[in-house]
Amino acid sequence: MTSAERDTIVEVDDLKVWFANRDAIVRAVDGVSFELLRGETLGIVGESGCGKSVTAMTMLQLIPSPPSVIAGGTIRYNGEDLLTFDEERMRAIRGNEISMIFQDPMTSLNPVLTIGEQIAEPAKLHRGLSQSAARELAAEMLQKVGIPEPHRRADEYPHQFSGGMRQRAMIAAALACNPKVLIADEPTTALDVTIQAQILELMLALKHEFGTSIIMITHDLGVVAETCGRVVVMYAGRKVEEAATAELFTAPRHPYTLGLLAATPRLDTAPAIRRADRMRLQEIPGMVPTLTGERVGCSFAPRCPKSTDICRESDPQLEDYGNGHLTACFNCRSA
Amino acid sequence: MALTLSQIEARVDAAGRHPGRAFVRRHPLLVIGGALLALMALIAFLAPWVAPYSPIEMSVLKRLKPPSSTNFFGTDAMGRDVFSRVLWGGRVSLGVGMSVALLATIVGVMMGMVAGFSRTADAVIMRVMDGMMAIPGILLAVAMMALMRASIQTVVIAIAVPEIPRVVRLVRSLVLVIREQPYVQAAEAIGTRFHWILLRHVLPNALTPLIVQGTFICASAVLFEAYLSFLGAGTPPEIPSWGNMMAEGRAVVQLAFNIILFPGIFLGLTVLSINLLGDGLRDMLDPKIARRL
Amino acid sequence: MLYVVKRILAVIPVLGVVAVVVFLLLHLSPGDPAALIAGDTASSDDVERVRQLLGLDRPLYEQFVSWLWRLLQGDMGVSVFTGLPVTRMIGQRIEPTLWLTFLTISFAVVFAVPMGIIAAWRAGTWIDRALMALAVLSFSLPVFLIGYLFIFGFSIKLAWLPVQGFRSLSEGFIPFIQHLILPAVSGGLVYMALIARMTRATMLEVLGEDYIRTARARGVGSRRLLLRHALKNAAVPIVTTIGLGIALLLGGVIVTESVFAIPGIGRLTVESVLRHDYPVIQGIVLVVAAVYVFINLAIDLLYTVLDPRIRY
Repeated sequence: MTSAERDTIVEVDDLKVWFANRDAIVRAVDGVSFELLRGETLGIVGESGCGKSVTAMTMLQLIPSPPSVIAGGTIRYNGEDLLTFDEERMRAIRGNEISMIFQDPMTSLNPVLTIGEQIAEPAKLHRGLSQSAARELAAEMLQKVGIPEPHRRADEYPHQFSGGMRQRAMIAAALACNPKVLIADEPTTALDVTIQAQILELMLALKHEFGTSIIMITHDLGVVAETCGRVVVMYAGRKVEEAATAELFTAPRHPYTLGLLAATPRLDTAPAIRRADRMRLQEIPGMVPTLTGERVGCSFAPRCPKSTDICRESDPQLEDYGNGHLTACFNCRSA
Repeated sequence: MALTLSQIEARVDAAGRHPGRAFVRRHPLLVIGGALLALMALIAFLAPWVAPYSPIEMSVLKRLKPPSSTNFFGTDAMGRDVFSRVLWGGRVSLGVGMSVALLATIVGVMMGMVAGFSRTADAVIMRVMDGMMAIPGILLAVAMMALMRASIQTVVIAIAVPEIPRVVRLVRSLVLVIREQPYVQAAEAIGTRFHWILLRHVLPNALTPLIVQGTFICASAVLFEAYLSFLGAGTPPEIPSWGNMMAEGRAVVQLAFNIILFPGIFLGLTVLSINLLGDGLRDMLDPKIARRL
Repeated sequence: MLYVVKRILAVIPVLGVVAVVVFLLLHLSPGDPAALIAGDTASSDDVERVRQLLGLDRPLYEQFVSWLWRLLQGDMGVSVFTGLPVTRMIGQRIEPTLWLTFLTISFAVVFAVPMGIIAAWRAGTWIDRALMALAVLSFSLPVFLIGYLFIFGFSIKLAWLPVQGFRSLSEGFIPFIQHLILPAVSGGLVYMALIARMTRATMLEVLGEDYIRTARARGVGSRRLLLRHALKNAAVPIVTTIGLGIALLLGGVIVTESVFAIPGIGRLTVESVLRHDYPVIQGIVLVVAAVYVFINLAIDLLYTVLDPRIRY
């Protein structure tokens, strides 16, 4: 099936985003491709520095250039390449057709503007709503995200909200214009665990109500398990594995994915189960590589328990193992 | 202002091959300011050998002559060669500037350290500093000069005193911040002696902001000396300072603008170079800006 | 409410310190205060007369208390030179200074803030460099040189504006303004440079904040971002600089009055210094410091309007 037939809403193709600083060029994103289908929730997982946030921000052209440079690739939304859009056209997209929410609700809201103003703003800008209509919309959105006394709360300032409430307000602002795509960059990382669950529930509920497609960026596999239908695993600026969530958790292929899963603390490996190899959290030895210069071989090879000579010499390509399960590894024949 | 990939690659390449040129491109202020200041300082230093005339030699016949081949900048109301006086004036102005910066910094550091380490002293010292900062610097300096016999030393003191509060505030806040650092608290916990903490932990971190502030104080002091002289409360008239020359030039501004102009230009260039140097130093020591291509 | 009260009360110790500093200056200087005031050419009789006149023969703290007491009643003593009450002398000269100060501040702020915003928005481009170069230059040239250059250019060569002097408002608006434009601009350039630099630095910092990125992600355009989202946040540091910079400004005003022969407080200071008329100098310093303190108090109170986090 071609992407048009499969109802793809966003298609990222061989995206390369590089950063120039004094000493070298950092290849933060080095050839990443994936698709977001209408109505699905796609997860992008990886450690800090793997390029997932950069990919997301590039979709809305939010990264200043310099020091960044788009070194290649396309991002297609509704058939058009967003990377060719000028600022004028991008502005019409941001907050309107594609929205984004960020990690830290404390610093992501403007402290000197009321919550209501910030939520109503995209509606005023994109839909031309009047002041009073926008205000009504803001209160309505606050109610939808579960904030009590929305009218009173809309006139308050961010410092009067708690962390969880602020994130809800961010979501309200992001969804105010009913965008087709919502990009959520680590939306729950900065929140308490109990609040995390509430926010994720809220996002799923709103997704059903508004019909938004979501790209969920996170380093937390638990979040992925809860919310995503398909997952992309990124490492050092590249996609190393992609699969349906269930398949990824039950039959992971790439050694990095295996490492991530093993490193996740799980309740079923409590000391009651006395298996020596399950008593400690498995860590992935070594560190994330610096992303400068040309690559020789697989980026994960230095840390990979299954690496062989061929891994250090040539670059593994993504291969389809059936059911859309893609993996880039020379040594992952068996699960 | 998006750059293309090839532009960036070219720049990174060039930075690798010509680290010197890359440095200049990255820190233009520092280079220009430093070079200009070095030039001014050199001129001032070499004045006794380079100046064609003595700065105090008067000549009744050659009064108020316009610039010529014998007197590059002309002569003043007492027949003295302006060019030579400008060269000699640099020594006074730069000397005053640096002395003030040094004096204010040393006194300020001592007071700031005390304020940072002792709660009670802090309350008293900061109140006094606030009060001093409420009086405009020039006014305070002028008031002090009114009570002292004019000389280079008194001028230095009069200019340095209003600058002290700034230094004290900086040092105090630095001390307070550094004291909260875990490594300092650890050192205190294992019983490290007080002055050792001071030397090894506080001073190195305080050094760079102090240097930057010191350059700005120097620039300000050079200007203040000129202001004081202009208002008649500065260096004694026998000493050729740029401020004095401009003050004397007031009386004849319509006849011989050169008497005000040339010292003014030199003064401006000197202060400018010190300011640029200060800006450049501050940018260089700020990690965010230093890594820019 | 508490914030407001606290701020007002905080003014008192500062004024107290100013009073003490001003009082002590005279007594901490080397030499006999009476002799200093009487001047180099005074005879010992004159010195004694001055000593009696100013009560310098009494013990220190007694002097301070009586001085302070009179001060609180509005009596700033009597000029050694003219014999007139200091308050009267200052009152006579204060009008031109007030107008000049007001115009200078207005000129500086009106130009500096937009300069800083534009420089921050276009950081790194030639506009930014040009504006900041202008700022550094204004910062580095002595005020009187700028003043004389202006006089030379506009008054002597072009004859557009008068060379010096002051016309009060009652003599007509045009002459009033004509006489004050050059002084206001030359005195204000330094202040303008300071504010412009601070505005630029603060705006840059604010523009790097997460909430600006979030606003951009919602489709807010550059102009709205700058003026509505960023400026409001930058307002507090900018306004603070405007307040603190007034100390610098007042110094510049004093010099400017000298250059342009404006009969204000600045000129009075210069004259008093030459005459060693210390009571007048004392009075001027007190008045100026008090004005500075109250302006900054007003700014502190302004914060509550600008930043919703500073309410109580």
